Amino acid sequence: MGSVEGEKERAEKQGCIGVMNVGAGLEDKTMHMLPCGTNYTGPAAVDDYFKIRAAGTNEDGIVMKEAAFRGRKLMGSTLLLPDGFCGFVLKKDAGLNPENGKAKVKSSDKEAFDVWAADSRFGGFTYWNHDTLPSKADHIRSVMEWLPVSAALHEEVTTDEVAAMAEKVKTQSGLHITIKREYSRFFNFLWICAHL
Amino acid sequence: MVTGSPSPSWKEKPCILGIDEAGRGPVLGPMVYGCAYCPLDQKERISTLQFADSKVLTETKRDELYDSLLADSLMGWAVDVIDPKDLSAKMLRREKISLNTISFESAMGLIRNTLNLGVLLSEVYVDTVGDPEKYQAMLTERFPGIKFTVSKKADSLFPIVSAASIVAKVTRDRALRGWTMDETGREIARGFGSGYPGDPDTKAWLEAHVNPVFGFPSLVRFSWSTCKPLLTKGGVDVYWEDADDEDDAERKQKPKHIEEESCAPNRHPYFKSRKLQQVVTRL
Repeated sequence: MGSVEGEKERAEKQGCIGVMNVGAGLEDKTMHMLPCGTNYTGPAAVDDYFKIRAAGTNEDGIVMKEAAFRGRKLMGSTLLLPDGFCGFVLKKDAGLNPENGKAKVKSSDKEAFDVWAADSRFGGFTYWNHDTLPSKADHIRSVMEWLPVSAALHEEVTTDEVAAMAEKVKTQSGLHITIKREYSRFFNFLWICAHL
Repeated sequence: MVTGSPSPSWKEKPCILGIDEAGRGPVLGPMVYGCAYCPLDQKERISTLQFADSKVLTETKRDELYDSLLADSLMGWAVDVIDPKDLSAKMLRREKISLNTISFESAMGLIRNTLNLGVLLSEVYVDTVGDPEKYQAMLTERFPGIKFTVSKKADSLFPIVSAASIVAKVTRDRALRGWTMDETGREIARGFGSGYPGDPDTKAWLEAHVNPVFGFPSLVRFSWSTCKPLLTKGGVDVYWEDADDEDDAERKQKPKHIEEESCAPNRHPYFKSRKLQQVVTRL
């Protein structure tokens, strides 16, 4: 890992506003997404207080869990991240501000440059609903759908594939591209065209 | 959960049943609804058995009467123990269920349970919750054919209700004494007093057992107004989506990120509907 200054320079060239350091051998953590918010950031005695019980399977075939937080009954379901994804718990590193050498960078500072360090990792999480049973319609489930779409969108496209795509576009009347995966790659194709 | 004596041999005789509760007021522990019943022709005998309002009896006397009631072949009983976790959960639901409603449902559950055992109920005596007339009308409508007497202080007026109050009180006391805390990690002292919000021991115990994040152990009824100031003082702020009953001042303190939606000019509805926000832009 280079100096913060070096990181910043490199990152800024790529248009980034911060860097994230992911070390090896991170601890796997169990994550919970609660239907409430707090201003608090810090440790919590999750294992001692947040007691989870199995609650059967519902109509949607979702395996449910039951717990309580602050007197409210919560019903939850565990989601795994899709293949190729990994979750990280990030902590803001006490990175020095390259300008003045001070330890903390204000978030309101336009020049702010955040350095994040991965504290631990997770391969999935349990989301909790207040009162309502977990269902297929839960908003967080549709969020998860975006991940494979995003992955496909940002996949590298080889020159052979570009050529094949160009051929297809030529031979077909109009841009009649039906297969989903190809549709997403089409964006990459356009992007590459713009840069050729 | 309702538990009680098995279906009696005298169930086809017209019977009287009394209902009373224990632990409605306390901020912790279960609320117990209890019922006692016997054949109508035992009414006279029951009144000689020294059943009285459980609150005026000593613990030893209560235990004695409880044991004699359980051993009495001409009496039946049942209890509905409502866990503090269930009380908190119901009263803090998005659509809140009041303690009165929980109480009505418990009392009606005891009647239904007794009828399901095949007991022929002719008269039912209930210690009232709220307005006795309304309560009586509601019960009469639900269980036509049963003569209901709903009144204040029924536990000292009718021996069968006194008997029910003893069953309820002893059950609650024993449940509290044998309570196993769900929570682990720290020794949770048992000196929580009577559980009534006004009891100094209860107050001190509550104050000493606030976890900043999780609040109290699940023995405590979070829905009690006693809890709120203690949580504000000893705990971190927690905001719920359904907190419509909070006043405006509290609302303003809500951290911004909680209500943040996905917003940017021309953001596609796909992202808007999923509340997906772009964090980093790569140029």
